[in-house]
Amino acid sequence: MFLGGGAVRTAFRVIRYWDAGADSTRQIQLENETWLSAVLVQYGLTIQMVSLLLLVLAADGFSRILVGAMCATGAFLANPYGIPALLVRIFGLFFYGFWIVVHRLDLQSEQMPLTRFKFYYLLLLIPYILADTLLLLLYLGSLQPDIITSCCGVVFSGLAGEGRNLVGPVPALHLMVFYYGFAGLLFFASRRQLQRIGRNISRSEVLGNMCFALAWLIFFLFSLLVVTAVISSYIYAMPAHRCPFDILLWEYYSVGYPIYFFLIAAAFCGMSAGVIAPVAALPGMAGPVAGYRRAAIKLSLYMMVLFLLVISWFPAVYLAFGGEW
Amino acid sequence: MLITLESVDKIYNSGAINEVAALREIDLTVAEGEMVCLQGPSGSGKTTLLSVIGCIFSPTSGRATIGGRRISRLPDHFLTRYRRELIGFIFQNYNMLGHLSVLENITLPLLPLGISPGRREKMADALLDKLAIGHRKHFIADQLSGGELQRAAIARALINNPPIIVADEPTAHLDGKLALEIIDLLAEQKADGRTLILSSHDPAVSGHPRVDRVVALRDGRISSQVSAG
Repeated sequence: MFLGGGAVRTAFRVIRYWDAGADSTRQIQLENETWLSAVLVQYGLTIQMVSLLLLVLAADGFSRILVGAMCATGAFLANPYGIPALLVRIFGLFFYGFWIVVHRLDLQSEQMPLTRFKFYYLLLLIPYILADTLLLLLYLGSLQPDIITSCCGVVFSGLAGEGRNLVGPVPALHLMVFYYGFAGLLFFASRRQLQRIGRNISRSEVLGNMCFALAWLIFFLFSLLVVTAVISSYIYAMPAHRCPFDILLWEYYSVGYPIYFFLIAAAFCGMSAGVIAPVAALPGMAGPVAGYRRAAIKLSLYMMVLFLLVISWFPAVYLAFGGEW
Repeated sequence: MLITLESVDKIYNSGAINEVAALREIDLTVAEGEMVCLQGPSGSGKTTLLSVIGCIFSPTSGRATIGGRRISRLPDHFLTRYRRELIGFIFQNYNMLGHLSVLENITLPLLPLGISPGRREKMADALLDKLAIGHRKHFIADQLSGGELQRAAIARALINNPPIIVADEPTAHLDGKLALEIIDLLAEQKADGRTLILSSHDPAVSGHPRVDRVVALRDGRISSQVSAG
């Protein structure tokens, strides 16, 4: 937040004075200023992204002193600010990461055509970062160890039955068939996108790229649901135990880390590859954008496959051997 | 035109009590293959102008282009690449690394290119022989005479085969005979199709028959441009 705040002044100056064609002292000074600001913002946002992990680990630590909380789920539910703080931090990963992608692409063009855009974007991000920080402070400041909170066993109960039901009466098997079908379609759509990179950007292409990004967003949310509502029970080998956080614990081989890492990486790469496509039309950006999209889509496919392999392992072992490996 | 400067200013410590306007409203064009000599008293802005052309400094305002590319405004990593590809710079005080050998000094610009040590040495050998200091190849730079150092500096400037040579007072520390030899060596680069911009107090340099134009600087401004011949 501190580093972003320092860049706000630069952002206003860029919006007011930026003139890429000018050779004036002010423009040259502004270019040097944007360099420094952008580097600081990049570091700040990277730290902000990494801090999601710290937040989850901290919440897991709090759970030991909060009455009723058995894991990070309970810790986040200990006051009204926990879940919003977590969700804002999770979605922040994508917003902050996208700024970094735009910045890195801007550096690959001599004309730096994305400078104005990235500072406009930064001004939009600043309130988000402020909200992120405020929610975190409210959450931490409102924690009271003697107030009873709920644990995941209450929150994420069966697919049909009592408790907070994530997917209503949908049977797990139907859900998983639909999920794998969706993942398969997304896989082939990604491969098709890979083949279309480098074509001229038309209106229909732009729409197609946005739909592609949206599909990856849906995959991300769907995967979180599936991991929590279905897969986690197989990891814990307990049908009533559904929790998105306990899979990070060492007693479950910390399998949650690769699961979430592969999922977030796949979703981010896929979404950003779709969203960034129209930028190729700007001067000097066709090559860098094509290169990024190619790398991002390939990475998203690898990460998606790894994610699906990891999450499928546990139900596969159960189905093959009738129990825990 | 290969090199153009339009309304270029360079101000050091702008706004501070020790502000210095080293260049003011410089308009200069240098054609491909031309040899231009900058003349002027100490403090007239010759080194600063060479540094702007040589992509070492960016101007405070104005436009500098090489081959149509606006070098005055390039991001640093692009500038580094183009400086490496386009410019061979010969410094007034040689700027050789005294603890390294002549070979190591000359092949330094090749290190970022990932060229193998064997090939680097072959490339250096060709230049060292041409400049008649092959016998000093493994000598530490501190052990060389002024003339040998300047030849080594020329070899380092040429190792990347740049189209532009920028030389800041290349004969400043040399006696008359050696100075002429060095200028003859530099003038040979013009025959190879290179563009040369050099600065010198020495009339023997500005009066060399291969020099196409003499540009006089005073107080950071161009006071005159005289074509030779």
